[in-house]
Amino acid sequence: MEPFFKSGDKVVINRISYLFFQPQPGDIVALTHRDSILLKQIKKVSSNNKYFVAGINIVDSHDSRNFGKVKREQIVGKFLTKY
Amino acid sequence: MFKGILKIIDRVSPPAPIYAHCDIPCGIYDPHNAQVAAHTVIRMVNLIHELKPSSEDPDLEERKKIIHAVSRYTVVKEEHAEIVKKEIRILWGDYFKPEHIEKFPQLHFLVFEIMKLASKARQEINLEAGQQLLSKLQEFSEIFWKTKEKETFRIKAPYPTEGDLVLPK
Repeated sequence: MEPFFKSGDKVVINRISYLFFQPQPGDIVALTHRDSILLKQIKKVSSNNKYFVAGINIVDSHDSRNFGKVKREQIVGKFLTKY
Repeated sequence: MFKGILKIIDRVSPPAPIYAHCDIPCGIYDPHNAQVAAHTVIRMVNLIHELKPSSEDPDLEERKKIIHAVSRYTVVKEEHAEIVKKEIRILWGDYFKPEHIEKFPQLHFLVFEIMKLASKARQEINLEAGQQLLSKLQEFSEIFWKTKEKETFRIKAPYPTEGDLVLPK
């Protein structure tokens, strides 16, 4: 998701926010995918409560266009800040 | 202040890695290796064809040398036809997205043709199959770079095969 996130950036993920609110389009979220945690932006929420996520750098991103929509339980938390 | 606190926390409890980018490394996709591999396949076919015995009945030493050379060229031909298949599989499976297919609907069949031609080039000593393979890879490369909104040009490859390479401008 360069240039917004660069390799080596550290990010803070708010694990509490989605206890009270549902993830919304536009949110940047941490999600589990296979054995990794990915940082992606929610583009669309489906009626079956699945989330289409993509990178901000849409051309080179590996995202829902490759691995499909993600389930609610895969979303770990909401991006808060980077440092 | 806030960042300072975060850095102290990091020392106590190092953060887990999180990946914002695609398959590592991000954005490094290029059909160049596949084209070079196809040139190698063509070159190996040419080298096999160029092998000529000094007489109709060469002696044992000369026969051994010819068999040895053919074996080596065949191994390299096999390996590089396989490189073509691997490189194209990665680009097709990891890079190309549904919107690319909408824009270039011929892509799936083109990949199918490349796979079949690469297999044929492996199985046979077939110059035509090698050249067709290279031609299809050039077509594939032009589509690939168009998806990145880059114009392409063809140059004469600096190899003994003298075929073209498709490169981004």
